[in-house]
Amino acid sequence: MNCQRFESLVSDLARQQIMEANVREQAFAHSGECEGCALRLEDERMLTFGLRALATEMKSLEAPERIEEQLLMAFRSRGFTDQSSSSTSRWRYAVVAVAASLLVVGAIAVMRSRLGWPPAANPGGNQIQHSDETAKIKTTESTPGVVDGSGHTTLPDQKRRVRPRQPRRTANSAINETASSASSGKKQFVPAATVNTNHAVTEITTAFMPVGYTTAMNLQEGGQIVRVELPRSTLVAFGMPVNMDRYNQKVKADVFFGTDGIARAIRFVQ
Amino acid sequence: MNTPRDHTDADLFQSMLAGDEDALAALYRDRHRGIYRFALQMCGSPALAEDITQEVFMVLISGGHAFDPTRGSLTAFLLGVARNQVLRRLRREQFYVPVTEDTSANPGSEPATTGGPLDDLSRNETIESVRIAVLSLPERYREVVVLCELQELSYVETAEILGCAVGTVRSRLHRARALLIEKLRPAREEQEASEGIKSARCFA
Repeated sequence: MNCQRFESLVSDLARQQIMEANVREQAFAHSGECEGCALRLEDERMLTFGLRALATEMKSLEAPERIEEQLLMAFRSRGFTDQSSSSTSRWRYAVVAVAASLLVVGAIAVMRSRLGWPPAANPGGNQIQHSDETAKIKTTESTPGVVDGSGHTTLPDQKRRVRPRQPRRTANSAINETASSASSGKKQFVPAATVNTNHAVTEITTAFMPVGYTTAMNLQEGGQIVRVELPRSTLVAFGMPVNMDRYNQKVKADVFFGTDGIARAIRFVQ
Repeated sequence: MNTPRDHTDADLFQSMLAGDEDALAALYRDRHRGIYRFALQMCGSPALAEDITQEVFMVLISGGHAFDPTRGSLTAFLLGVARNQVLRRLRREQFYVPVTEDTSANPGSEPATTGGPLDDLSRNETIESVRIAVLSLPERYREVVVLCELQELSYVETAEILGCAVGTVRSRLHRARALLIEKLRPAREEQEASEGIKSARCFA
């Protein structure tokens, strides 16, 4: 037993805490030999005496009776409140549960409509799909046209029907159809457009892909489609694969310009 | 016929939750003294101690479902709530009122006389000095002194209330006692010196 060990035990010695008998004996023996530790133990004992006197002094203290009366009054009033509040809370939980269920169902329905799930079977592989949203496009004076859910575009003035064509599958086909645009999450817009029937007979086109932050509202304002030629490298910007052998060649595209002259959508033509 | 007092704390607690007013009254009468003394020993103000006592039992009434008998005793739960209330009030108000020497405001607080007037005076001075010294301790040391020394709880019970290890309680108590000894040493020396003078007068 040394002074450091004694220091760690002196409080318990003074407080008469339970400890091993041999440890206690060693500690007392050390205090008999070391004057400093003896004084330390005496200080601890005096403190213990003072603290116990204080504890005894305060044992009779208690809160006034009005505290109990107030508590019982609060308990009685709370007993009535609890019954009504518990039923209210049960209604509340039920409403929240129903709202959450409706939200989940609605979210699933929206996701299914946007992603076109379950996917429609098409033995041709590459598909041209038209979103159901296109059926809602308004006709305009310059470019009337309505696309219904089956993909038919109806032009009221010209009374023409443009059917979506199945693309011919070629080994070097560089245009990945709607499946890729759908997987990339791009919306498919078919704005009301003037149709050049000469082109429609022999051409394969992708669906219109929005340019920039185009929304359905922009397309409903009407506009014009302009046939352009662009570098094939433009395909990359729209997430479509490019045959590197033909990287420097041109590709035809139909660009839909809104009434403000800003390009709103583009489709590539083969 | 069983009275509420014959039941255990768990039974009384469950009865209280079920709306038994007598169970609440029994719980209050058994526990409120310890809660009140703890609050008074921590903050030194009887008014604040009354508020805290009431608040602790209001928590038991309204939030009693938080008490889990399998995790600890009701006493530990109530003292834990009281501790949180005390610390919150002390930190918010930085409230410390040293206990006055006028003991008539506290009923039942008359000092027990065991000897002559000098003994009473010496004892009262000692008690007062210790009380002021405890109230002057930092909160984390004060609470272990109050729980272990004044409430006479074990290290394990104190650790349960404070949410710390037993070793932490021991080390904090050791440090707190050292601080108290330092605070009380000048008062003790002065007291011993005055007792010497009084003794000399007695023999004059």
